[in-house]
Amino acid sequence: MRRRILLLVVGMTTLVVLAFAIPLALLVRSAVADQAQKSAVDQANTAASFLRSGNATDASIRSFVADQRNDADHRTWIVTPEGDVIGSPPTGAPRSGLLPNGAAPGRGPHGGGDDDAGGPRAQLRDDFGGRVAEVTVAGPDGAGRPYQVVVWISPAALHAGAYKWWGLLAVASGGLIALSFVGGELVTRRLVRPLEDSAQTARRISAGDLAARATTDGPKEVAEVGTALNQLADRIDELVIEERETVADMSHRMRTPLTALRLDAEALRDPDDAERIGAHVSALERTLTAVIRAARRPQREGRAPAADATYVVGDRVAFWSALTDEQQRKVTVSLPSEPVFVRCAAEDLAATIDALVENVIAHTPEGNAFAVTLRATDDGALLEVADDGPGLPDGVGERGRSDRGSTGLGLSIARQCAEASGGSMATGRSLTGGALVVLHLGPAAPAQAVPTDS
Amino acid sequence: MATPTLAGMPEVLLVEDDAAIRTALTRSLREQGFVVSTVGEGMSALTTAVAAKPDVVLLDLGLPDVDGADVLSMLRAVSDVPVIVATARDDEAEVVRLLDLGADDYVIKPFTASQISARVRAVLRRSGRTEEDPVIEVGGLRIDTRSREVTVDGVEVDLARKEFDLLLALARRSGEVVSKRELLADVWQLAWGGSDRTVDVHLSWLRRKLGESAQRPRYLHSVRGVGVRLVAPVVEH
Repeated sequence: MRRRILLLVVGMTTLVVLAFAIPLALLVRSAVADQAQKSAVDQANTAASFLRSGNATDASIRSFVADQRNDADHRTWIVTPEGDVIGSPPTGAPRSGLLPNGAAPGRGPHGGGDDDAGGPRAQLRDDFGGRVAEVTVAGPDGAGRPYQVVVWISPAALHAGAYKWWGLLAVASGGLIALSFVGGELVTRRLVRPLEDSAQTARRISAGDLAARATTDGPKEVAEVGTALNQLADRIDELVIEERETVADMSHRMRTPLTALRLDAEALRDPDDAERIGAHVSALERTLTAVIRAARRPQREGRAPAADATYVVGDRVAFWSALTDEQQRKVTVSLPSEPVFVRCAAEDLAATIDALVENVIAHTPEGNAFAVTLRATDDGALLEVADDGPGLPDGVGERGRSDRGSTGLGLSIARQCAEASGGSMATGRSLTGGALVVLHLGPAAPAQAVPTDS
Repeated sequence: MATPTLAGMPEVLLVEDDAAIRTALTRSLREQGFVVSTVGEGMSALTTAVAAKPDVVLLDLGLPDVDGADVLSMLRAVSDVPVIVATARDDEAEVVRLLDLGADDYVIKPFTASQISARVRAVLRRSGRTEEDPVIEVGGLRIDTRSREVTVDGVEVDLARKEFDLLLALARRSGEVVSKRELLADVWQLAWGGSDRTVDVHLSWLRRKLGESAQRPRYLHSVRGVGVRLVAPVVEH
């Protein structure tokens, strides 16, 4: 769009400039030629006045002609009544005798006219490949052959003065076009920038970042696009919150019949039955609690959650150290020296680390070592939990599969946390053949990257 | 103040509209030695609480006629009977709201009968409506349930909230093996939200603070596959 608007602006300006500049250039050319011709005519008339003064001798005529401009483009010569040529006519002009166009005194080839001194005025015509101003002046005896004064200018001299004006005109035209380009660029930027920003915001929202909002500056119509997009995002926010509230509310309501079920299960006479059904009820309760937690996530963590992963990981590993020390497990913790802010509520990140450490404790023999590594990356952080145990069974960690944890939620809590942060979870084998869980956690929004208490 | 009836058996007024819960809980509480009377509506709960003067009221929030929170406010206006609120919501704001309205304790659904009876006993103890000693002593371990202070051989031990609750739950049943599931239910309310490892790690901290270890236990003895038992340490001669 920017390109098109720029082309339109520059194209229109060029057309307008050309529409004015071409006639103006022709006018200038004509005015300059007129000026040169007038100058030639004046020069011829001055010479004529000199001859009419009666004091003209051959010597004074030669001196007069020598004083005139004589170069490749300008020539002045006088043909005496005797037919001698004083001066230097251009190539092609006769070196003696009157010019064929020479007319009787007072009559030029293009009609007459007297000058102020009563003599005829110089006339213009094309000759010798240039422009000629010619005037005949009666000889000293008043009759007989006259003097003929000829001033010649070349075609180049005729238009020489126009080039300077044309140059000025070209510079002014170029300047105007450049100005229109700059103006067009400024306008398109002002138009396009907010639109690009809105498009970027829409992409972020579609990628799950419901906190993204477009700028609402720029021209009115463009600002309205941003405002409308923000209203849409707000509405999506509201709908998601309403939907989650409904889910949470319904899940809460399910706790009442579940209570009855649990109490009845406890009251069963057969302890095995009571234990078995109680375990089922517990599983149902855990799932329900997980549903409520997931539904309440935005309320818990706000629109743009942030947690210092360095602090939370260190804190949680320290918490578990009482048990891991007791079980004589060697725990290697590798943390960055700086805080690493990830897009995750501290509470959820802590629950994730708890779940991963618990998995290791629950499924590897006491004394088995494990390592927790956190690294800052260009796009967030990488959290690795690797143990020396028997490794994960096939299929564990895949989406939709229940995992091995006694709570049934260990890895799904971790996966949820990673994915909600814009990252992902992967499972594999550690270097020693044990289980490896890798969480890629997305970065916190810059404005949110403030220390948080966990 | 209501005197414990029927030869010292505390009387519980159960306000619950769900018939299944009412029946099951009544049976369980009676088995645990409480005298239980039940009502299914908020307004009748108020009149019964004032007229019968129970030792403790167990109030469900979801009542058909009046909101349970309103019943709580009204009850507080006319009586200082201890009230335990049963709620399905476990968010902090809700819990704080209920405590502010005058609840003495809360229990989150779904609860177990033993959890309810433990809380009823605790509330009765706090309110002085029981003859149970507020100080529990096991060997050199002394737990003051009112000031929440713990000393071992006269030396004060600084415990976190959950550690104290865990120690108390074990000390009340000292000599008994208490299963981790029971501990999760009693101490953590949301038994299903935690796992055995949650109990394990808190036990580890508790051992560390009490100056013992799993390998060299004094008070806290793990019984593999069953649970934990708190006993007075054997004095070696």
